[in-house]
Amino acid sequence: MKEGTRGSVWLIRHKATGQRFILHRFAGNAEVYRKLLDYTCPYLPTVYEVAEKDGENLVLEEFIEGDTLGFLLQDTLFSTEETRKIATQVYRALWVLHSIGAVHRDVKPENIILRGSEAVLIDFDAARIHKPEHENDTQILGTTGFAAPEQYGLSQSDIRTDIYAMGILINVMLTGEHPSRKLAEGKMGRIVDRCTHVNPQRRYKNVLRLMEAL
Amino acid sequence: MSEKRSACPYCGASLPAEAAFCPHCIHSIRSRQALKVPSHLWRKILKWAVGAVVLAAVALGLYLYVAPATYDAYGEVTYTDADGTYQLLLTFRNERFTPQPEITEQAEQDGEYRMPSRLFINHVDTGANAGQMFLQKVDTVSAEIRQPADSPSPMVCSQPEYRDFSPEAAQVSLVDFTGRSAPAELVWTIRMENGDTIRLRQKIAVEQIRTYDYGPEDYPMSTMEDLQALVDRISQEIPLPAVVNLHLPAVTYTGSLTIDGRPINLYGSVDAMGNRTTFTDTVRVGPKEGPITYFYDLDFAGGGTGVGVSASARFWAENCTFTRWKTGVLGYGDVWVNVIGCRFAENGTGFHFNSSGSYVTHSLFNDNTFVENDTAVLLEEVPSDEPLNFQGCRFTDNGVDIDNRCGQPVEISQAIFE
Repeated sequence: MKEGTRGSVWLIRHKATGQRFILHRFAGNAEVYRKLLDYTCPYLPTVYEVAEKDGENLVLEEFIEGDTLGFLLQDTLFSTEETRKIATQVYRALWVLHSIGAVHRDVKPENIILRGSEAVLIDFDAARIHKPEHENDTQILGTTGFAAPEQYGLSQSDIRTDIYAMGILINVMLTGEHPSRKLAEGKMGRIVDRCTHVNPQRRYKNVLRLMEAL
Repeated sequence: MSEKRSACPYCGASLPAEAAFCPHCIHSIRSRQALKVPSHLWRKILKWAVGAVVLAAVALGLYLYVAPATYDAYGEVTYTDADGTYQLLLTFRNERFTPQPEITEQAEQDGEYRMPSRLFINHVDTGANAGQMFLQKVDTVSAEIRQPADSPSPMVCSQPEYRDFSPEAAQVSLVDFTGRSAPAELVWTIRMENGDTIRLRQKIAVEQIRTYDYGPEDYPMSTMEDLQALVDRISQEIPLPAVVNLHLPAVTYTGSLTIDGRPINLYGSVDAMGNRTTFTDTVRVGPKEGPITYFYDLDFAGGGTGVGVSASARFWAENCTFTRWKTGVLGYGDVWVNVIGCRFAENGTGFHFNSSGSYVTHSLFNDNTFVENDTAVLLEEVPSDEPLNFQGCRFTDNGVDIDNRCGQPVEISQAIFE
């Protein structure tokens, strides 16, 4: 499906049953995948197996069939109600990640698949277990535009990094634009504004607070 | 991979021991936990509850701001309105800035006492007396005594009013009590026109004073020498505030008597022949401190000169006679003197008030008889502007009935002049 510098993604089919899986091969840190082996959430792909050899990771995970938000946003925008519903599901996924100490760090439309009425957050390649003692992230990861300032070395990523990206996501779903160019109107705009504050201390402290605001 | 192996619980296939997934039957063989986002219903409830509490607090604050306020304190209250901040205080002393939240008064068991509770109102910023100005914003002022229902001698208080003898006080309430009065509380209630209520309280306790009675049966007192010696001895031996009463025999004392070590009360008597205790020379009353000196049932018979009783200390004569003196009773210095139910006859001046003090004992000078005096009453100088009330007095055949040189207010509507 995808071949890049950071790894490759394969869609594979089980010979006996015909069931499809995603086989993900990448170098780097697979700690978040290993943690997800113990959890299940309708808004996250199920991670079935994680193996590592010579610094290369092999992850077998659930294949999520549907279109990405990124694909859908090429032709349409979402209403406030639709945005609120999808965002709430993504927050539930993020809440699971944050609960196990992980930060996704790459929340963007291309990493959200709409499976029927469910939004599923995928791709944990950039995800890290949050270690409060780190002053700065050791690598600059994430996607330009959706990555929070601290991901560029300003301060260490924590769960508010994902909240920043959620703010951008909400704004893009409503306006098709980055909030620096066009901010959503009304209350949603104010929520986006608070999500994307340069100072992480000024953002919502966790996804629960953000869900309440929504 | 470890060499250790385990079997798939679903299909029995051999798998690595740490496998989480069976590739044969595609079952996940790892137990998983479903993490659910905690319901934030309680947060909403909490939010609403906090909101309600804040709203209630704001409403309460608003209510307290606009609703009439009640101030309640012992001795002193600081009250602020649109015009400024005021100190309202109660005291029994004539001191405008010193509240007196409680007082313990010494009293004889059956002695009757009166003291003025004074309300002073000062402007806090300037210290100026704001009494009359403040009273313009007052609807009513009242006072009451709160005391046990079974008090052996209940205290009473007068309703507050302006009193000449304490001109700086906005109002004064007179409190009457005896030595048997139980501890009580005087409560002033000041209702402002804006609806505010100010309550000022004073605790009043009475400490009984010991009384010593001396009679002719136990102590020699039938001559002036004996009497003066006894008076001097008592002055040395019995300290204040104890009260000393001398019950005199019905004899005539010749020679002058001086009571100046401490107040000593003299009680006259009548013998079987109808003779009363009589003094034919001047009696001088001048203790520098202590309560009133009382004389009861005594005759003072002079020879046309001198002064019957010369008082430079607080003095009270009741049911006494003063006959043929240059002056029957003279009050001087800075003290208050009362004569009640006495007879003044054939004197140059019956009763002469010449005192410049400010302390008032009692305004009544009732039921006296003034007969054939050159001047029955001479008011040369009287402490305060308190009216002297001569109710029930009879003025007969005097050269001058009342020589009111100092212009003292007098109440004579119930006196008889003939």
